[in-house]
Amino acid sequence: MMLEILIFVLRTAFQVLIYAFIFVVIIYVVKDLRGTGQVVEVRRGQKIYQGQCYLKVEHAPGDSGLAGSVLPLGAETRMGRNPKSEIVLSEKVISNNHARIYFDQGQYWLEDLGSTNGTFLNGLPLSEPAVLANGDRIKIGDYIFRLVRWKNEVESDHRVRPGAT
Amino acid sequence: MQGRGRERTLLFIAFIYTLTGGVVLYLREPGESRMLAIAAAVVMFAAFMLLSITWQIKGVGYDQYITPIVSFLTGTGMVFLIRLKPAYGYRQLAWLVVGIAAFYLTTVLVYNYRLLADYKYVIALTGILALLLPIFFGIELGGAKSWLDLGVFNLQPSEFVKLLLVLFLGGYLVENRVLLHSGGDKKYFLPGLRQWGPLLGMWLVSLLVLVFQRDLGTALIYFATFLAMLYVATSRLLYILAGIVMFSIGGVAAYMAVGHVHTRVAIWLNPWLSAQGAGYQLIQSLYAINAGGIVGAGLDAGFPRFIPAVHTDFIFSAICEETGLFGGVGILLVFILLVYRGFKIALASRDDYSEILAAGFTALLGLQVFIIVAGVTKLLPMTGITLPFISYGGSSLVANFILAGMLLNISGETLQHEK
Amino acid sequence: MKNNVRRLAYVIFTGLVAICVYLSLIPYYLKHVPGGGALADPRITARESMIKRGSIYDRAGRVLARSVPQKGGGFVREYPLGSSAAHLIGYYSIKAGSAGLERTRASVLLGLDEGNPLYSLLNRITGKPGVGNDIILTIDAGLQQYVAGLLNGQKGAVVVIDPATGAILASASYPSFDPTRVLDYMNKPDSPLLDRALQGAYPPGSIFKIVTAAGILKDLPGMAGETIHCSGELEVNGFILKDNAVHGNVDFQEAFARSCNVAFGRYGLALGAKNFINLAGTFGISVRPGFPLPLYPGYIPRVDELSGPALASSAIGQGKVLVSPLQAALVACAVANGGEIMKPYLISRYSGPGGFAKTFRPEKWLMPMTPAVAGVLKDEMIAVVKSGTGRAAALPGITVAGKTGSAENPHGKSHAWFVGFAPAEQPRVAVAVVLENQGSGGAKAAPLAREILRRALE
Repeated sequence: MMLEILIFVLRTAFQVLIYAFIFVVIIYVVKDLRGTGQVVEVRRGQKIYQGQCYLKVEHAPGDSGLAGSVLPLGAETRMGRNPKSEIVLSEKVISNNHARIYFDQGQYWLEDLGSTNGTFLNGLPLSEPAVLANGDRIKIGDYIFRLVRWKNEVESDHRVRPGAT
Repeated sequence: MQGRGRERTLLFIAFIYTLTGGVVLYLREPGESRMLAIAAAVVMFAAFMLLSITWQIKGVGYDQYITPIVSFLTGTGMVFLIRLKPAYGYRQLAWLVVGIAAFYLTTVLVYNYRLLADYKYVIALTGILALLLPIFFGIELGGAKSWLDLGVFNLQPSEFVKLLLVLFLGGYLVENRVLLHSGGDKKYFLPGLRQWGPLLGMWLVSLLVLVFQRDLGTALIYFATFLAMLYVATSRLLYILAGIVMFSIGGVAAYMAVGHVHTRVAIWLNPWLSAQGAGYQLIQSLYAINAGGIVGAGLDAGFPRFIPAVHTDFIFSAICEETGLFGGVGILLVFILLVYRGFKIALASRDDYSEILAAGFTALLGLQVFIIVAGVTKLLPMTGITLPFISYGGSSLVANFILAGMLLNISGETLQHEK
Repeated sequence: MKNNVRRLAYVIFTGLVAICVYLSLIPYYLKHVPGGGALADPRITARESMIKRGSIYDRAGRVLARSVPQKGGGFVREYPLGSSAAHLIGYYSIKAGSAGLERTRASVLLGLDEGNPLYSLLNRITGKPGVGNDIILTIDAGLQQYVAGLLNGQKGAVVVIDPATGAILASASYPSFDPTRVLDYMNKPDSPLLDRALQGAYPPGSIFKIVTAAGILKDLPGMAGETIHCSGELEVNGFILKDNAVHGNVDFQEAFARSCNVAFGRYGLALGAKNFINLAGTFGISVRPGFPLPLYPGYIPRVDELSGPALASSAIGQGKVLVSPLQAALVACAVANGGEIMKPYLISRYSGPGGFAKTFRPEKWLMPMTPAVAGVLKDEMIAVVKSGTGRAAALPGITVAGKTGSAENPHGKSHAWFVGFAPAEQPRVAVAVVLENQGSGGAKAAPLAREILRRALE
């Protein structure tokens, strides 16, 4: 009798555990999608979530104080001197609306917005929107950014050292 | 270093789940063979935890969901196999150990999987040879002549050829996708051999499998995976339509010529006409699902053994009978999550080869699940393939573990690539 | 390429989700698939050896079916009434499978459905096999046996209903079968396994004049006052509808009492096809009530099939019109019950362990005519038995109302019909009798109906 009851409880648990497993996976997946997952690191007040794409500032003019910081990317990130830009770059050679990074078709795209002095992707001037890949270097004026799509690269990738251009 | 806490949490839930199932089996009928599910739970938990910790220390960025889901599904398979055919428990446990080893070795040895793109024709040749072997030296099991008798155990090369197929197609399609993509636009009516060659080639290989090995399910899987990958590479629906038409022609021809295929289709159309004969198995499968109702009869409380061959092709019906619609849908949801992760990996990959490989492997897995579950529920003709990770069958289990390992490789490739 | 992957993913997800939905439809498919009985589910058998199937009782508690333990485990079914109630109760055996209530209510009898949910849960928790539920029918076992005995040797069917509640008191069909030796009756001539009472499809013949008459009284009361000249045949668009006699000048009452085809053919034409089809529907022809056993729903032609001659012959119950004996009995019920048909029901109660009980109450179903029209028709039907074609149904001291029919059919002599009820003042029993190829309803069916009414009113 007691054994039967125990078996019933375990049987029920067996079935419930199927959904417990699914539930936990879904919770994690939803957290990933909402970008509210595990906080991987906090730098200069900007929280970076796991799976989120961001720019790492490799090099910046000394007075900007941006060097070494990380800038998360949203659906659209405008860069330029315009104070309404998501990333404000205060340097004379940089145009008001210099460039933008936008998300489309599952990819991040870099587009030059007709700047005077140009935007450089991996050393080459950009003429039309280009897909960004992990590790790409973007040069605007004296600023150099590196795109990070995977968290673990920040630590392990040593090809490009801050300041090396 | 990236934390792998989620992976371990999920592995723990999968462990508790398998353990619970194993304990139910043991309590119902204490005995050595019924201990095997518990053993499987422990083996998997220990091995995967070890892997998880290793990966964390190495700092690889492998997907955190694949391993627990595989562990969960394999655990389900062990519990139900031991409940259905305890005699096969030892073998399957041995295969599980081999599978885990293959899984680990895949992540270690094939981390430079990109190199495989250069060997695509070697891979294709190996695959075709492996397919030809059973035709000459094979033995027939369950109506399909696709097994090699290796003395100690039987091997089904076609299970491994699936993986080779994806690897070959990945390399071939990435190399030729521009050509394939533009081909139809200019020479709409006069397509060249280079564009249509692969389609014809795959069609012939599938027919070969169908006619000589009499293995409808494998032929269908090969061809459907091929079409899926072709679509991903070229986004040309024309190829897909042509492929479907060609497969239908091949299928109709097989229906006419191969008695085995003919019977399967006849059963599908009306199993009740041969209720005591050929249709018996499918009807029993439907009865089993029906008997399960919403919550099922309870583990080890139903009568799934009324279904012939329940431990291989029809294991899903047994799951439905004992855990009900609730459990059956649950297992399908777990498969859906696995497929979701697979496609997620494809979408996150940064080059075409990785993307097409991940999509191909995932499509292979998803299509297998669809085709076999549709078969046992009479949505499609029954084709006799295994339910990945769950059905009894060593070749299939090991091959699927390798597939999972490849998905991990692709998901974590960035780091290893740069080392 | 990323978008292609996404589309491929959607296709595969859709496929897998479709299977989830499809899984939940399998029980529905199994319930409704034609030929689904070709293979019995061995699970029921396996459960049968653990669970004692519930018993089936008549209204007074007489056993109609029960399980008795077998040597060597398991149970075997016993049917005290034998072939008398075989069509209703059906059969269950490992070899032959199941039919009738034994099939359609198997899950109730086995306690898999219904029952005290707490009790079932407790059984599940403690790992005990469940206990089956009993089913109590509205049938009167004595009457059922009597009716079956009367019918013995004559192909046909009888349905006896309490018109005030819709409760089926008896329902018999001949030829019948021995529910313990079903295999001997399979593929035999005259289909002994067919329940003619509920599933027989017969042309109703003149009993359908009740329906036509109700339509005239309701929609064309003026026409009921007119006199029609019957010359023995009615010509409609060049087709000739023959009558069984030359009735001369008849009014509505005479036409009904003497069953004049010419007059009723005219009535049908006057009602019109659409009206006539609706009328049949209000009597439950081609309507399916929820019922625990399969029923023949009856057949009425579509509007475009009811040209003049077809309409005239349908109005007298010939042509393509088909009804089951149960439906014929319900027509009588309508007149008996002041114009209202109660929903026919066979199961009065489930009862099971743990104090489980579920009672089925009489339900109103259809209202084909007003009480006033029903009153007029009742008088007509009394006249039929008193002085018309149904004199053989008369009982001393009890007013019987009825209507005879002799339905022509392609299989030989006419089917003999009688529908009626008694006592006319306060009807307690309605009956329908059909005897295949026995000729005149007044001569063959009416005497049988009289004996059934006499026995039922005792």
